[in-house]
Amino acid sequence: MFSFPQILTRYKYPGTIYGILILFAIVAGDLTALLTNGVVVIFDYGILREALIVVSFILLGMKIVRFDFFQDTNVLKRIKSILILFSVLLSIAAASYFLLLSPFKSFPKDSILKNIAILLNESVFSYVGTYLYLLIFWLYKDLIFFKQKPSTVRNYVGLVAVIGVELLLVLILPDFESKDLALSSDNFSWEQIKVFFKTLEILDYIFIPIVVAGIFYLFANLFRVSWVTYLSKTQKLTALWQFTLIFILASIFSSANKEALLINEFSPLLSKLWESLNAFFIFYPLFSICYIILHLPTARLFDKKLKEISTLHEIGQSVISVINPHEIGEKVVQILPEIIECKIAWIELYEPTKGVFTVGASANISKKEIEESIQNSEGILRNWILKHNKGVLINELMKDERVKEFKKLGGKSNALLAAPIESKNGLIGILFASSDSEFAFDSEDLTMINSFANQVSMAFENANLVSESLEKERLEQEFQIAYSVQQRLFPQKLPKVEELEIGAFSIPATELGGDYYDLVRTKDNRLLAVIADVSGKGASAAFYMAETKGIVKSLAKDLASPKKFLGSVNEIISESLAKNMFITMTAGIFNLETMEFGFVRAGHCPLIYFDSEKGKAELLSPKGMGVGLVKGAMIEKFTEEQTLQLKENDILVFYTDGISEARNPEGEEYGEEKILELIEAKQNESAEVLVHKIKRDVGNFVKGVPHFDDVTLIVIKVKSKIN
Amino acid sequence: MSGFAVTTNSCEDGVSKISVSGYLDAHTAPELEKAFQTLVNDGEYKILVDFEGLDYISSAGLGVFMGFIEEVRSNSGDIKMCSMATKIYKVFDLLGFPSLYEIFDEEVQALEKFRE
Repeated sequence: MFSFPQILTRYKYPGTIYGILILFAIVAGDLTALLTNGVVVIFDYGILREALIVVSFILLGMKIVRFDFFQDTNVLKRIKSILILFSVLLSIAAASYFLLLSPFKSFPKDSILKNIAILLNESVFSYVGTYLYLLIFWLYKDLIFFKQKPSTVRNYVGLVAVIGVELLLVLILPDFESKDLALSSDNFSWEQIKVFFKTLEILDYIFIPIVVAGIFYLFANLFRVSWVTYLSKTQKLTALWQFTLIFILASIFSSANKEALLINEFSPLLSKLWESLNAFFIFYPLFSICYIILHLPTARLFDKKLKEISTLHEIGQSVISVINPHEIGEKVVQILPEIIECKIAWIELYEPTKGVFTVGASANISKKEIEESIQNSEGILRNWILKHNKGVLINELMKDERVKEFKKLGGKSNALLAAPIESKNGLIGILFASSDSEFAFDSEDLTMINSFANQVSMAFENANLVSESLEKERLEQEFQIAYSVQQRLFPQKLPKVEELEIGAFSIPATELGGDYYDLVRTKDNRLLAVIADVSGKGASAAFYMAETKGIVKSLAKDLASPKKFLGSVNEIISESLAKNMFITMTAGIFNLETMEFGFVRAGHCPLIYFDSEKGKAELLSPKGMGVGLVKGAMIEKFTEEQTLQLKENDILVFYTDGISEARNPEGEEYGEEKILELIEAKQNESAEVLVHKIKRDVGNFVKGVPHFDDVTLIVIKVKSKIN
Repeated sequence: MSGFAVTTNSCEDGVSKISVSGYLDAHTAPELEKAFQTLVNDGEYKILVDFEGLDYISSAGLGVFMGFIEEVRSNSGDIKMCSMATKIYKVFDLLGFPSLYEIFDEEVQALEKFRE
């Protein structure tokens, strides 16, 4: 709570100060009038006075409602606040009343001091009282707007508007006030009404519709008590006694204020406002009290439902956060007795491949006991659930044929609930709850266990998703490792050969490729160049690629002719190669002294040879057979060796079909012709530049279409001796 | 990428014909493998493969024939091929398949050869 100066400093709002200043000015005006005339008369300057009062109210009210006290939307706190404000109002009224009675009692009737006291008392009380009245009305707003509908706003605005119009009429038509009072005075009788209607004037044609509208909107707002429904039983009782108190206080106040207080003199406008609000302040608590009493009998049921929903939700959340399937089972059987009044609970998990149920977890019964009962059972109940995907409620277990096996649970089970835990891929398992007393469960419990089973299935699916994504991540990591291992199988450094320029590269289509190339310099001054393509892609191709590398490396130590080399490779590798797999390979041997080059083409793409003398590039495709297509050294029979005498600036290009079969968005193949043309055109470039140019040309051709096959390229150029 | 289709018909003299069309690669090879497996399981070992509609064959597609040839021949049957487009023949030729399989221009020639 804040004291008043704190409010001013805390909110730094100049309007508050202006509001107070205006109030002081009004009171000062009244005082002046009193001192001048010697009797209590208010300093009447009509509309201006009322307008000033309204302005000061607005200025002061704007910030006060921002206090937490007025902002809390909790229904019970609202009601409590209303009660507090009414108590304060009544205390002030009482204080004001007794103040007038006691110390000034002895004062002579028209003494100036007594008059000043009356005036101050009247002004301050009128002002503060009105303020409290408005704040109370403000507090009611949230109760009225609870679960609001479009009509709620309309009716509320209507009520406020009627009050506004009444106040306006008071301001501009002083007669209006007296007419109104004539009707609502305490001692009215039929006679009076008759007189009233006889004396109807034009003014009354305005007055009657306003009163009718006022009553209509008043009732429309009085019926807005739906907040009662959502209170628990104890909350309803609290609200009930609080509203009873409010009703009493409001009644006392509205009947007392007119006689005891002089608000009408301070401001007829405020007086009219009080009167208008009084009806609402008395009837709204009355309606609320009736409504609460009507709702008390169903309060307990409502409480129970609400609790069930919230526990189920909470529990669902806690189950879903578990990602280990085993822990889910444990948690479920631990929670189930809290939701449904049962002693025994267990969860059975279904294995679709074997068609059997295993006990996942159990509470207050051993897994062994249940497993034994499953083994002894004919599985009627479980098969029924499997088939119908519905929960089952059995209250007289001993008499039910479906569940013979449960009779063996040592009399622990007399009523049974079972609910399937289903996922979109089928049954995950069954949730069981059992009690030792017959008729322990009702249909509500069945609904409950079914909804819980839904939550549990979500938890299992969640756990599956998590483990799947973990598995995926693990595989991705493995592939990443495999990729870097495979990259190390390619020559890390090309051999330095004085007579030749060498450029090469290889890119797999996915993490793992089946392409391979190698260049090995032998002790007898020869160079072995191998390019190979294992059929298929992925892991299997990668393994054979690695094996090929091992074989090539070991055979290179004791190198005979290309054909013999190929025969040995085939002999070794066809032992381990799967029937439907093969390797295409081109293997060539450079004699670096004579510059003779012999090669075999084991089913691989043709070799490109650029003859520097003719200035022409051509495809060399001697007869050959893929590695692994025939057994052992038999491959030599199907393969021809071709020999070239290389000259300065001759160029050889080894490639895999990832290059020749690279496709553009139109589906056309890159082919070999383009390489031939490119080599002829760029014959003066170094081997490394040629590799780069071919790579770029293929890249330009496919226009961003990802290569679906591994791409490997070797360019070897004979150096000119002048260099 | 165009699709792939494989159909199996039985011809005269106990020869079964597998017709392939479209795009035969690592993804579609299992379909062809299934067709072969069905024939072999049924004891049909005289198999003619008609390549008339085939647009492309990858190494995985070529592997399918290697996977079955041994079993087929050991049961005194054979896999013969016919009606290949030049482009497809080039692939088979590069790999040395003509030394391993009999490849004919026309279906009739292949069937005649089976009769011998």
